Amino acid sequence: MINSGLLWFIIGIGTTLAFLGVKEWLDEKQVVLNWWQWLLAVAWTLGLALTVAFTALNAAANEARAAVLGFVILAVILVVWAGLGWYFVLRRKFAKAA
Amino acid sequence: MSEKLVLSRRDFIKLAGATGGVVGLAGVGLAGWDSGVSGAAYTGWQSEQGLVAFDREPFRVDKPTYGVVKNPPDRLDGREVIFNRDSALKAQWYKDKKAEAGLDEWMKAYYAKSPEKLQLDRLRNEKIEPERLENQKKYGEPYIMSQIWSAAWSAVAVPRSDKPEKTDMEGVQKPAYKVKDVAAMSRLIKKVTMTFGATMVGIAKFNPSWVYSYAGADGHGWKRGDRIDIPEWWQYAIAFGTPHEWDIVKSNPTYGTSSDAYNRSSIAAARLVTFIKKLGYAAREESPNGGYDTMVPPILIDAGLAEQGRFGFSITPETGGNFRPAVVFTNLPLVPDKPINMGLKEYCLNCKICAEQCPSRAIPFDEPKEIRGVVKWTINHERCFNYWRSVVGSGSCRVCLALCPWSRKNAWAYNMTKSMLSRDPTGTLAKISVEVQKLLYENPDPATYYAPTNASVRPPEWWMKNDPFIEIPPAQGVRAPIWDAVAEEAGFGDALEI
Repeated sequence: MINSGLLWFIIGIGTTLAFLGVKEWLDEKQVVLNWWQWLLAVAWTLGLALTVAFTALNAAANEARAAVLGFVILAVILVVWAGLGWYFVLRRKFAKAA
Repeated sequence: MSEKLVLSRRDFIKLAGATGGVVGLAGVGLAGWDSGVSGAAYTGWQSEQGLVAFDREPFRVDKPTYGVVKNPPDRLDGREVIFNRDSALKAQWYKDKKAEAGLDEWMKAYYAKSPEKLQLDRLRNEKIEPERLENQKKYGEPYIMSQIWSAAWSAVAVPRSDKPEKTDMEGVQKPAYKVKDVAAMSRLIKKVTMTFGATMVGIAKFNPSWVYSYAGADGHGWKRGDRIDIPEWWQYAIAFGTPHEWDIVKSNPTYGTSSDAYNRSSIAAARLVTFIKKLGYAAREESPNGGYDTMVPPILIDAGLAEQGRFGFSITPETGGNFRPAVVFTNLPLVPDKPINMGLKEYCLNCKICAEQCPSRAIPFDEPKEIRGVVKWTINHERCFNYWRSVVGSGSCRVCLALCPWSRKNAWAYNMTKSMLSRDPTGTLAKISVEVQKLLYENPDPATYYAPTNASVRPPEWWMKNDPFIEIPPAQGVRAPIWDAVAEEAGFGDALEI
């Protein structure tokens, strides 16, 4: 079975590394996020994981329409969310740091 | 001279982070994919490993969710059951071509009271079934493999029961082992029923109201029309079920079958009966193979295994309607379980997907109604059965259970949804879930289930197709094995062969 403890261990390591990488990048740009901004970032990441997993599950379960429509709807939400985050938080912080 | 690649600590972490992100995302995708295709997602089977698929305890209630307006409710006459009535009609009306003059007094009185039922029963026998034979000739070929698979499930069949005083007592160990602890015995019975192949088990106090008042057909220890007197040893009902094969359910109606779960549940019942008899107690199997003296759905509801759904079946939290039950009556002392209320009735009141998708329009759109003193949903059996008999391939349907939102695999997204909406007392999540179901999940046009389109809910799995496994000789006849016994019993035999 693919869906094993080992897989989730690897996912955990990958996600930790991804957050470390983002933190390092933000440090380099001298951008500091406060706690709720980090919380939003974590929630967005969970949303991304949910989108990918939901799409894959339904594709595998022979539910093509649910996979495609589910992906489109969730992806639009994530893009809008990311756009708002960039416009209201990151853009200003990057400008200030520069 | 090549330049030496220098990677700073910061760049390394960024690179590792990017790689980690890709790996993490791919891993989540893989996990999602696997939860859709893995055998572990075949809801129900995990119980065989002793895992509880759904914790019913938070949903236990004192009274079942169907309403009782007459206590005790009237018992159903087994002769009314459409399968029994159809066999009787075939034997009395058609076999000797005596038509109405051939009907016995009960049939005459029944049809005089409900002439619309005679109309639909005749429509089935005189138009739908002959048309199906023609359609089977024209369009039946793609379903040969699924029919062979369906027939194989009947290879090991449990014999039909005889009268209770005979069958229930045969092989009972004497003297009986005394039960030390009734609660412990109840746990044991549930455990062993799982080991015998059931995937969910509950216990109810025996309720005589669910037993047929009169036998519906010959050959189950009774003659058709015999009064069924309830033996005093029917004190508890052990109710259980096994799921249909999950690969097949979505390819209903044409490729599907009920034989798999019918036979699994029947064999589990036979083993449980033997187990109880070896302990020294009477036991009787009520199963597809063993035969029925009783309605089964209300027993499942009383035992806390299920609630009644709009399409008349019992729906369990684990499998939805995608399972087949069996029951064992016994006098082994047991502790009954309480019924459950997981909000299914409210869900069904909102949903109506099964009613909208039913090819025969047999499922009601309105609220539950009183029948024989019980408030419940009931389908139009004649319309339902008439459609079965038109279906090329399986000769049956199950579209309702295939499209029921509760009939989904054991995958995180579906489990999470069911678990959340069952715990929402406001019903808001249930309403949202219904809308999401209708938006995201494809619901074919019910008209396409009829010939010549013969659509299935979803395309069949690879192992249900003839290609690339077998070559079909030209003009080979195909018949629906499930109906052979019915036809032969009614004296049609080869008349149904193409």
